[in-house]
Amino acid sequence: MTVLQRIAYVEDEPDIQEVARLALELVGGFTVTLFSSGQEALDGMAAFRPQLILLDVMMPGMDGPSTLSRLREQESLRDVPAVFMTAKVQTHEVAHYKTLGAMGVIAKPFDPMTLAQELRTIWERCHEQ
Amino acid sequence: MNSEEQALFAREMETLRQGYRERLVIQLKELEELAASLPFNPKALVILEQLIHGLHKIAGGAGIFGMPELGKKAKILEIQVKGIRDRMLHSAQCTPPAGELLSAIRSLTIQDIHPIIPQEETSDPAMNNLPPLPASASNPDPHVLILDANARAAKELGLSLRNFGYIPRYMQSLFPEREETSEKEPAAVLLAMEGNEGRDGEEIRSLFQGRPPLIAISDSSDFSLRLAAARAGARGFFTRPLDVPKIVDCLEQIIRKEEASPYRVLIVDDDLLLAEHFRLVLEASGMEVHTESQPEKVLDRLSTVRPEILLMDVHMEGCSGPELANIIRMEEEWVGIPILYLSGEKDMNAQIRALESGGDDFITKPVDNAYLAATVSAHVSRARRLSELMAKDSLTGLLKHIRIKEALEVEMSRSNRDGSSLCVIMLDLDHFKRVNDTWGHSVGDRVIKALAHLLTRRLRRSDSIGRYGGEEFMVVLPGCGPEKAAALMDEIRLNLKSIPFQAKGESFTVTCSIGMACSCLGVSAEELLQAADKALYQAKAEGRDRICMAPMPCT
Repeated sequence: MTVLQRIAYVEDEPDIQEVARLALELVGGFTVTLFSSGQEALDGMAAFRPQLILLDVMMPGMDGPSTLSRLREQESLRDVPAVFMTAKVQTHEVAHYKTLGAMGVIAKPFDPMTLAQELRTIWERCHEQ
Repeated sequence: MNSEEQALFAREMETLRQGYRERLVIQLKELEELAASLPFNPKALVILEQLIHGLHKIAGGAGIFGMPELGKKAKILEIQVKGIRDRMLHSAQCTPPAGELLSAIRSLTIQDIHPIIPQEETSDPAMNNLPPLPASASNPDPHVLILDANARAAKELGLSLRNFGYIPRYMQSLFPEREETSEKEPAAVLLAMEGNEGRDGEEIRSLFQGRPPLIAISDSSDFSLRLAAARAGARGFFTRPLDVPKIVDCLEQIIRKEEASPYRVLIVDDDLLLAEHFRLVLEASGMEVHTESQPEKVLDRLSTVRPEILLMDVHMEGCSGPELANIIRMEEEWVGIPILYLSGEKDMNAQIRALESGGDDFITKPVDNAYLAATVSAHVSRARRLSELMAKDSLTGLLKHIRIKEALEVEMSRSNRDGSSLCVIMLDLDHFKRVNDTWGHSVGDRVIKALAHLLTRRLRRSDSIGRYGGEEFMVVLPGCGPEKAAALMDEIRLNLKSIPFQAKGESFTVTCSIGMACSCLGVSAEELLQAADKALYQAKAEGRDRICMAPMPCT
């Protein structure tokens, strides 16, 4: 199994961007590229060649699920595992996000100390399958 | 991370937290301004949408930056504002509760910067002047017929029963005028045996057309009277001086059985004609039956119909019965619902396979009508008994601690959806230890039971009543505002203290203290419960035997 290193993160809120970057880079040791909107992600994500895409669900303009489906139209991002982040996590919602092609859902508020580990667990699980 | 990195992380985190807090102050201010503009803005829906978005951000963000409480409060409010928005979308007349919303948003505070100062709680002066009693918020109260030649004794008993929510009627003779009996059939008859000595049991029995349950009352416990009562089919025999709570206990057991709601059945069959046939058969046995022909709609129907048993066809288009059973069993809530397969399947192996995948029983078509009704009834009655044993307190028949708290959660989410108000009540018997110490624990248990019966009688079926602890009770009144709830509970308080309890040849009464809290925007189930509990303490501190209302956080 390849080691998870490169994460693309789509999130509109600067505060959350910063804390997640801290959690992923400093605690997790990942390389993270941030995109502040769906459009930014569509324009620039392919060049970063991410191993995993992390998306906030509720964003103004293009929301997480629509961003993901547009990203999937790009050849190089078609099969990259994706994880959603959202403040409302009920069982049927998780199921819904999974049908949209997400490998996992991370609940907000997340714990900055354990976020990296959560992503690693999802990554491992999705490579076992 | 090594220790250096950890220190760096902590420092960075602290900087981020500071920055977040500063921006949060501005965000909260903006939300407040939005809410304040609500009454003057024709585009209320747009404002609500912005509020939802802002609250959503805080719900997700605050917890990350070390303010989980604020995050939780924002989340609750987000859900509630969504409810308001949805109601406005459905009905043009619906106006948002702007004032309440504004104060709920104002109560979102940044804990570390503005620590919450515990507020001095004062009792609501309005509580001292209770509004007139509501007509009746309860079930139609059951009538009991007291048949006693001694009018005074009958009135006395009637008065005590009234405290428990029964409507007494009186007759002095067993041979009444016709018009007297043409009234509503009584739920039970209390018959004084005096004057009926020597009368045959069957003769007494034949006097009551509808054969209502009979309870015998007598001055003596003479064997021949007991025998006559037994032959007349009496369900209880009580000697004077009467222990009213004991009689009520007996009445409750009789009436509750007769008031039990019909069994709720959901039939899933893509053969509409057959489903209709089963429906008619089961309805004829007094059950409430719903049908569904599309397997994919069953999960939805489960949550709306809330059936106690599922009958389903084994072979259905697109999704087989066992497959559907598997889907249903995956939902935690429906793990326990009995599932009966209806099928033309005669192959024993296929039947066993079907049962292995989550079914409880197999009925082969063609189905004998009586057999179907009996099987369904047996399964539901067993399931009811089981869930009652698990959910209900054995002494009082009320919900157990954990269940009543669940009931509150359920009612809260309903109230968030439809915007109705909800009251939570904590009720505690005063000086109950004294009752136990003076009269013994069995008498104490009788008092607890009497209060349980009183609550069950006086409250609506839609209200949830639970035994919260030893002598502490919790009640959830959905769709009930503070005035109505206060009036109702005060009535119950007065009822309780006028019930005479008998023990060791003496008579005594008990009182209770009550704390109430009413839902409003931004308040969680847990907070509501705490507020009611606090109000109960206040009622105790102010001298017991009274109601205290928690201050409304939104006013």
